[in-house]
Amino acid sequence: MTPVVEARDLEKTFRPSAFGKPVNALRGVSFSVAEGECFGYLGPNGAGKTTTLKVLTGLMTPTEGEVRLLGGPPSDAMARLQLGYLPENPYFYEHLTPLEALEFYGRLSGMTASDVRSRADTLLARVQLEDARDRRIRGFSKGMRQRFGLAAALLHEPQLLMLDEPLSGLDPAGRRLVKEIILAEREKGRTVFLCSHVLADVQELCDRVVILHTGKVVREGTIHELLESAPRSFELCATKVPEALVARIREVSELFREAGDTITAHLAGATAGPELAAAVHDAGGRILSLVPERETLESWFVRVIQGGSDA
Amino acid sequence: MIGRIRAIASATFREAVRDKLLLLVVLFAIGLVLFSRVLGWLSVEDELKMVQDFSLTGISLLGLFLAMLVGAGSLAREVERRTVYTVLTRTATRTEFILGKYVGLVLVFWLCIVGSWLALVAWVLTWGGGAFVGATLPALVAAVVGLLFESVVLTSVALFLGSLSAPAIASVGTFVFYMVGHSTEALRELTDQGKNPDFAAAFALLYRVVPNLENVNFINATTSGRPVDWVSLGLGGVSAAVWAAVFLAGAVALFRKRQF
Repeated sequence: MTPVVEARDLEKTFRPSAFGKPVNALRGVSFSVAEGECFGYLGPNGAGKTTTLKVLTGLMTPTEGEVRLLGGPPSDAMARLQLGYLPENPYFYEHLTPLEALEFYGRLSGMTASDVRSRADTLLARVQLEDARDRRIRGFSKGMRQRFGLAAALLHEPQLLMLDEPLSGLDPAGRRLVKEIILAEREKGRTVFLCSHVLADVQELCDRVVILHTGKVVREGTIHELLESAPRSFELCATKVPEALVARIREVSELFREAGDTITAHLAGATAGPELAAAVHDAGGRILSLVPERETLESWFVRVIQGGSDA
Repeated sequence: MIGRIRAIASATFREAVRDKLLLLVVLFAIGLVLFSRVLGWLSVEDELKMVQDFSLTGISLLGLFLAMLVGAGSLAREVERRTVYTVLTRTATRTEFILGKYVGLVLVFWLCIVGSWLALVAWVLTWGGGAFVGATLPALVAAVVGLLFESVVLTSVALFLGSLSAPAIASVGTFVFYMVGHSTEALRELTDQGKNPDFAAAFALLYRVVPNLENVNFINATTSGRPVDWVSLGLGGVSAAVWAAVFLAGAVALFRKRQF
């Protein structure tokens, strides 16, 4: 099956000024997004996420490499017809009302006026802006703009949604609402390309992620794969452990606490926990708990970008 | 294609007419028209001639200010506010975007020019009476049509310069273009009579390169009471359309290469 989005060996070099040193915003970025997938594009600020999105949407041309969007180049109007794009911190024509703006975007997407009108009411209600339909966008808060941007991106029912930090500037209720809409669109079979640096959101919404750091892809895989590859650890809690074994456990623990005759030890690695639990059992001690712990995407991400691609 | 250009033009038009800046510029122009009466009193010449001359010149400057303040910065504003992102990622091409912006801006500027001109006609009617207006109306119409043609060229120049440089530079460039465009006759004279052959060559080049905005300037003809030369006006309109097409083609070529 043809990928919905495909980037091959993308390079983008900027020259900030005529005599300035060139900046390599993208360095050999390659990935592909399959149909119906919710794809997370992760990276710290300045990693090159927005530059990638601009290249993918045709706002920028890559210095090297190739992009395919729904089987065609981003310059292909038919490909863009199936694209719903929400830029980071979106701005719209300030003096238009949401209805007028949706009418404008609908006409740019080949919709008839009656199609737009019939969709507009539903969409504005869906993003909870039905009461603001006749107010000018100029007076909207950041969260309202963000929600309106999502409505505009969904207006023509595109096959592919590209969302750049869609949850930024939203209050908790707004975040919940936007997450629900993204999940619902994924359920409908739409492909979602989500650009974010908020890892908890990506973990909650995406099937697969690419992690970008200083313009390079440092990791790619499903959330499950990435977390499975992350090292595990165990928390062992036991009582009535013989002194000699307590000393051994203390020696290998990352964290160790002792309260009366109860010990709690944090043991790194996949084997130390079960092995020491068995030793406690064999020595006549009593195991209160042995809890496996898996690294969160957040701590894993921080470790990866701090350690570069070798982490 | 036409539908998308119309949509962009319509949004540009709505945005501009709801902007307070536009209202201020138009009020300034109407203020100039009303103020022309004071100059009429002070003038040793015919009062109404003075009113028409000053007001029509004021409306010409209105076209210039609109191009400088609204037109020259319009593309930069779209990029700065990132509204262009939500347009160009749909099916609209960059050519359609420039043409839509241009049509929208020209329509707004025409509305302002015609509005100010109607204020002038009402003013002349008040002071000169219906008979005077009846006698001078064809000339007044020719003058405003010339101003509309001039606005067509100035807007294209402002968009071209706006796609090439920062808004402030584009505004200054539009102003220089207006001044030089109204001075091409002087350039020709400097070419013919210039003492320094190097400067004469430069003036000759400028004379050939810069569109002659005097081709669409019918203000003097109006105020001096000469009969309207409709053929010249028509040719001036054709010339304005050709120059506007040239500058728009330049703006499109520059904008298509732009990286956002």
